[in-house]
Amino acid sequence: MIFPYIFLFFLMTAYLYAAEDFVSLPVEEGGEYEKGIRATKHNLAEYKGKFLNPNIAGEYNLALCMWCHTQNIDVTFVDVEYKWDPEKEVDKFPVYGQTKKGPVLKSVAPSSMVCLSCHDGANAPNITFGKSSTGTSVHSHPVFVIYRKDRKYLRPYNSPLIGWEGKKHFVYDLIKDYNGRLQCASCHDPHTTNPLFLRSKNRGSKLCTGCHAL
Amino acid sequence: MSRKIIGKVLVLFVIGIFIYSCGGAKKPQKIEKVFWPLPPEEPRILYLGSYHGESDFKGRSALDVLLGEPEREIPKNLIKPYGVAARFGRILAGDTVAAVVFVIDPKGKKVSFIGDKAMGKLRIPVGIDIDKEGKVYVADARNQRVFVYDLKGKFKTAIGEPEGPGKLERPAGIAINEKNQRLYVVDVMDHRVKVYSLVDGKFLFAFGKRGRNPGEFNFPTNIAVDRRNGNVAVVDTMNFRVQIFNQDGKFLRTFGKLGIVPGTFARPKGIGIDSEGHIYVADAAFNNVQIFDDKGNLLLWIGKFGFGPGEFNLPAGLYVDRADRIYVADSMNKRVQVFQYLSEAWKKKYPEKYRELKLYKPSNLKKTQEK
Repeated sequence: MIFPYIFLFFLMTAYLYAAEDFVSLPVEEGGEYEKGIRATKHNLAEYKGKFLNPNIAGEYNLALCMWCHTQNIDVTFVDVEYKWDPEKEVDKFPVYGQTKKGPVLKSVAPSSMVCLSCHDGANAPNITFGKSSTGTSVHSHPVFVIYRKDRKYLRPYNSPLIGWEGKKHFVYDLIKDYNGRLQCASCHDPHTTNPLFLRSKNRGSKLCTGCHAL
Repeated sequence: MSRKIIGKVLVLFVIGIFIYSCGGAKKPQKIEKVFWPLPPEEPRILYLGSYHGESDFKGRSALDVLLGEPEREIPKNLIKPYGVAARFGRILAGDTVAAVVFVIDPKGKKVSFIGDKAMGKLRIPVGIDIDKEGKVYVADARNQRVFVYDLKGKFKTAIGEPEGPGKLERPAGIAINEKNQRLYVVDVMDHRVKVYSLVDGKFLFAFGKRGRNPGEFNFPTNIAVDRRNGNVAVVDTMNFRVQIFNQDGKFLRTFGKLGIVPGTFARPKGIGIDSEGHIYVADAAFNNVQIFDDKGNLLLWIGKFGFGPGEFNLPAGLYVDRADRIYVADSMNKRVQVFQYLSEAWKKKYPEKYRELKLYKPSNLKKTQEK
């Protein structure tokens, strides 16, 4: 008499567990990104077939992701006490130039801050931008600048990008999330296996001609 | 008639506002004292100032700005500093874009450069330290050497061997221990700390390897020497921790892990140790500096994202000099920020400044330092 209910209870529990698993590890997306990360230099975790991180030892997907997707990690509060200021409120740190209200800087998106936090010349190859003190440009390609669609040699917003990765179909897709400014992630995808982590293989300058018209 | 007057008044008002806004931008703002922690507690860290490069000393006068006179010479300023060091009243900041070391002399009000000449030309200067003879050691990440100069920028020698265990693959942070005459160099790509003799520049030994266990590293970057006992603290950036070794490379202890709560790290970079053994760790993801005691207990953290005094935008290198001043290379703000640790010695030396801080009650304290 009671057995069907017990059976149903177990079934429900199993379903809930399964659903939770599915939510925390998106298989399709994660699989694709994971392949890209694992095969490239952005795989900071793996060394001689072992995963290195001391905090997340077993969980496979997170071990590849948490280097950059730090803010998504839930870290339970350890007993924190500021010995020099016991009254101070203990709270999470906002990461990569964001506050609770959102990003502070309009020009540099938090996603670019993630790139810059490692690519400083010491940890990883340096990203240089801006003008040097002598006035000459020292970077390879302008970044954090406004895409001027009315400029000569620059394609309009609605010109298509063919074969670009990551839902970039038109020029406007490169800048629409970043206040109209070019960011690192406009042309680079850290998860891809393309050379230089470009969003499209640059054969015949295909990537360049996505935006630049001759 | 009256309408005309109103019109004139309006025009004057608009012009007045325009002029006011122009002047307001150039007017030196009244600088509030910035220090941590907030008043009822004992003050510990005081903000002293920021240095950008030549424009700190070659500022155009207000008249020049008003008349729109062109600048005669473009001042050479920091673009993206990483390493920082200070001694003999000079602040040294290595710029990874301009590829020189800025020698900022706040008293003499001038800036000179190291590594811009053909002999000993720098490409990516990272770690910097100075010994008591005034020799400047600069680790160059791309040249795979530690260059030695004098304070005037004359190239002396290079440390680092072309082959074998003494070869540097990508040197980053360096630290000098004057008591045992050793130079500690962190090799990021080799995941080791390599130790050289200061006397003849010979390779002595290395410690660590890639891994996650105590005493092993994953992309370590910076290092500091505890001047009291010779211990070295290494920032193990991609293991998100700080490891402490004795002067011979024997592992002592570790603290920190990945996280976004106080006491954890996400991109730990610069490190420094003051005369009382407090460890300062700059974190580029949090844009702050966390302060620990020598056992690894969190004491306080300072700073947040921003552009004002005591606010950071991707802090990189950190250095604590012998007078307990803390120098932080604030890389994306293109400056070096200087703080003072208010030690007992400092309080005795400057009792009036200390009393001033104890009694200080600024109006907008809550705004400038978010509690």
